[in-house]
Amino acid sequence: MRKAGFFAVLLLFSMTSAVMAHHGTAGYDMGNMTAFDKATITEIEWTNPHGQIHFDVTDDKGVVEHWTLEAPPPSMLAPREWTRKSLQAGDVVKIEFHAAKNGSPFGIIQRVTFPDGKILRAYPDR
Amino acid sequence: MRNLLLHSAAALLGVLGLSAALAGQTKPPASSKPAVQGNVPDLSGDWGATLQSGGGNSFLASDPNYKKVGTPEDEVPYTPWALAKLHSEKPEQGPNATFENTTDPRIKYCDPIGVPRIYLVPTQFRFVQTPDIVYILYQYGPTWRPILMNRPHRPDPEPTWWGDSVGKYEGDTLVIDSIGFNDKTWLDHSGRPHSEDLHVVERFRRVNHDTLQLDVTFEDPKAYTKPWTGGKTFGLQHGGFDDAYSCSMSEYMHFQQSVVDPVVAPKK
Repeated sequence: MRKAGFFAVLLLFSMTSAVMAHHGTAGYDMGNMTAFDKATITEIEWTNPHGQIHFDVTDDKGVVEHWTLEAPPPSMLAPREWTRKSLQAGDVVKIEFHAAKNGSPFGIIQRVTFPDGKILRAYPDR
Repeated sequence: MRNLLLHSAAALLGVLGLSAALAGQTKPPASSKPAVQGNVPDLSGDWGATLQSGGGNSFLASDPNYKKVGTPEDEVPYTPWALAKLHSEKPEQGPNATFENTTDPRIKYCDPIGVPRIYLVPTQFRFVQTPDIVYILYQYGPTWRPILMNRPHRPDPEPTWWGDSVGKYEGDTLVIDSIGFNDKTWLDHSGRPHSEDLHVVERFRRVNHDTLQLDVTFEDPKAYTKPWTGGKTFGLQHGGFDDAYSCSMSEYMHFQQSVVDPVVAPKK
């Protein structure tokens, strides 16, 4: 990624069919997981064909970078115990995702971990 | 036909109200066996892909992620017409998947997804079994199909998005026979085509309390040299059915502009 200092976790994953977006995931680096320990949620969009999760992260120098993640549609999140109140603007969480291959601040979400340890999965773990 | 539609609509409103009332009831123990009341197997419940399966994808167990579609290893018996049409499409899954500029009609135009592709999206469906008509309520759309029981097809039905469906029970299996489709839908996410001659047979069997098996047969002499089959397994869902998947062109365009376009932009 552009700012190596942002990395909290970098794990290698083998590509499987676990992530089933309505479209292909060719634009994302599905072989690697990116994570930020302290992401401040700024907006959640519950829309089709995919939701969007917007958040800010701040580096050691105080520079804020805005990210946007693709999320499953509401009909797919509901059975996974997400509600419109599960994750809200202002929440500070750990967020894990597969980043865009072109280096832009975009990605497709995998899961969110709250300070109390609660995990919300957008797609199945592998 | 008008009376039939009015009857269908009235019955559907009734069952929707009943379904909502029943939604909060305690589910039966998972160990109970599927019940057969008289000659009618119990298909009740909300059915969908399991969390573990990630939503499912293809009807072919031998090629669950469309890696072989249109290649010499593809087991589907295309006619030359169908193979040419398949290769002319730009699907978002399969060997020639594209992330942008897809020709998938359900994404490009919000067209109805059709039968049986609707079972490949990770949404739920529910059967409402009445003596004359089995209704299938789909979270995707949301939409519904009436399956007219124990009667023949209407003669020479006009082509429509959802076709003309009749059904019967064969032991513990609900068998749905459908014809009369238009040719605007795809059979699956890879762009496998069909003509107006498509004939689909869906066979639903509740394998156990928590599992529903669909076996599907495709027949279309213009597109396929012989009938071919596929299948998919669904699990009983308990998360609720209240958040429908509605296709909205404005939301699709918003997603395209705010996510897809920047993700596919050339690397800087």
